[in-house]
Amino acid sequence: MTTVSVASGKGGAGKTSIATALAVSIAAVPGETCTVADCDVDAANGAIALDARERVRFPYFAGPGFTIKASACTACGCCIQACRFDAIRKSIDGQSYAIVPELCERCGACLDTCPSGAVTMYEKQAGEFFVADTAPGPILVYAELEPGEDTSGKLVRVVRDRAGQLASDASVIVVDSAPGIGCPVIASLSGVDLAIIVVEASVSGIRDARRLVDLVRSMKRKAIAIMNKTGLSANMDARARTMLAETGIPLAGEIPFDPVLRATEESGKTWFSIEGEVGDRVMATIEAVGGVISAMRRKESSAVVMKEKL
Amino acid sequence: MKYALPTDDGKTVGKVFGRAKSFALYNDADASYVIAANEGLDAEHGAGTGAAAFLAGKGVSVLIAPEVGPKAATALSAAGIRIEITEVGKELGEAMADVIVPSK
Amino acid sequence: MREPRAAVIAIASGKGGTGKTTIAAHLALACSRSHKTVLVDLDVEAPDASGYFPKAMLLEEAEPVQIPIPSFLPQRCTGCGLCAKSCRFGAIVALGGVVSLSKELCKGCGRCVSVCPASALEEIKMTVGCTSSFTAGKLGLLEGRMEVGDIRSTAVIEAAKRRATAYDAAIQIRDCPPGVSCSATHSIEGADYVILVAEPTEFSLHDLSAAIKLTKSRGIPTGVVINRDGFGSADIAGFCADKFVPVIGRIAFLRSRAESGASASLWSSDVPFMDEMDKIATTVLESVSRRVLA
Repeated sequence: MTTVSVASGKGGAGKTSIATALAVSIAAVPGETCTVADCDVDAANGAIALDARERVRFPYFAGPGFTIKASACTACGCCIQACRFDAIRKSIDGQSYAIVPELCERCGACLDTCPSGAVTMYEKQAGEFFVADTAPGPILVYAELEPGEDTSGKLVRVVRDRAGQLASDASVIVVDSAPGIGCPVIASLSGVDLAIIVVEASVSGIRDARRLVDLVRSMKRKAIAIMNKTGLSANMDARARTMLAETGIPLAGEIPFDPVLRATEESGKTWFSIEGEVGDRVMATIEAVGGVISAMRRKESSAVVMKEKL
Repeated sequence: MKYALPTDDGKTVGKVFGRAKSFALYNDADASYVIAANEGLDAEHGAGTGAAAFLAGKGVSVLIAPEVGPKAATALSAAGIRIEITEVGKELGEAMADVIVPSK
Repeated sequence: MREPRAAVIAIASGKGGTGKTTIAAHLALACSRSHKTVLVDLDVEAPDASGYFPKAMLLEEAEPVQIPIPSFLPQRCTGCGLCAKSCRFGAIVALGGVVSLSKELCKGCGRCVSVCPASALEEIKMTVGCTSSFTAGKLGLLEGRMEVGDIRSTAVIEAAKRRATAYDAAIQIRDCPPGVSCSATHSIEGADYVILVAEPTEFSLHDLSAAIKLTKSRGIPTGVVINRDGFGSADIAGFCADKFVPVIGRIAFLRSRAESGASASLWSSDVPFMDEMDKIATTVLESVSRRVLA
């Protein structure tokens, strides 16, 4: 089993488009199987791109939620004093207080301070995770969260573990990483064989990718990069290349900005299905990444063969 | 001295530390070893730091693992637990031997 | 008698990269021509609204945003471990009787401090970000910025919101983080109107659905601006009609606009674009003043 993670640091950089195209191109090779772990829960678009048909879904519980039993509430206001996240509001009739679930950070400080025991914990369902079959072939695991719930290391682990269970020893798992550089991204990168860093050729894209490079290095992950949306600003393109050269991350290819590529953010379309010159250029880069992955797997399997021989 | 290794299958070194299914705990004083389930596996946040606390509570001095996330690394260091790097999939015994009896 | 207060308009989107900051910046610019306006950048993990105003002048030194985090007093500790048990964020671990704090995981909720039976934890301030105030011609710009790699966006967002209230502008335009996670929900909370920026792709439509669900559950009037209109085929307008959410603006896709977006340059000379900003501003302000004066 080989696991690769596609990460970008910034939302909208093209991570999901690249991850899904890569997964489809791997699955298109006879005898190969691929599983996608979509950990970009804030924008779970992998299911759309891959025209996913839900097989099964499971509730996801992150941690306990907190709620105020109106009948037990004396409106003393202790909870509001204790809440540092401005998540408690007076009810309409002013007779009690209520916790706004979308704002609640689920710390529990209100429960400790309530003198009437009106604050209680409950098993709050934070979202759901799904296993789906896709038209182009890969199995897809993804999740959707309720508003106000954040992707956490736990959720990424749940999605990755399920993908790992569904994949065979010979499969490739493509992780569509959570955005940013926090705990969910760490969980998206831990234990992976290759990190594919997507650098959007813009001010914010380059800055965020640079932070991601630092994280990948600190976790000692092998990494390569893809530049995306090039051709809009020669200055930005040059800055991106310089950043990668300075940090020693090999560049697998550059994908130019093209409205045709954005237009594939539709049901059942990935970059793999674009025809013509644009499609060929994009897939050349994707296939270059596929080549790196195959080389890694050959090394892995020859190492196993060597071990068996000895 | 007590050593710990993350393991998902009970036989080989697992891929991750904080959310490993269990830990193999080896005590070189009596050459005993047990597999302890990772109680913090289900934690929403801080699985890595929780695992560090778990191992510290068991008196572990050395963690043998393929990688450790940055936050877990800080917690292990605070707990005075040394980290030795090993390869994923290695047999537990072999990974332990590499550290306890390092070849020159 | 009612005190006049600012009309607060939040610009949000379900998805990253839809052009939310571009629209927030230019909408604020349009409003500033006739009203005292402040653009509030609440995308604190990566605030980039100021990129559109390179000549903006810093008004005063950045104000640090601090949260109260626990500091351990070992001489009082009894090793009970209650602090570690009470922490929902894994920031406190009791390592064999010794309490260890992971500062970067602490959310500053104060629970451990109040739960400790021996008063062995006291609160000290930790800086997690800052807010900065600029002027860009007639437009005020307030930026919340979280320290790199930090997770305490709520504290920085709330500090920026408070500072914006003290700013004394007639109109506040909030540039919110994308998505519907914790930081997005705090960013739109308290706004009089939310403008959701969508592009005509299935991806954006899917995320728009989640964003509308959020604004409705918080009871905030909502309108949609369709950006990059013309290159995708998703029927955003049809979806909005089904959800009884008005489409209040459309911005056509033009390659020249994509190019200036990449290098964050201002489009004030793009007349059709600025006209559309004026139109959106008028629509939203009319809706807000109807509510505020009602």
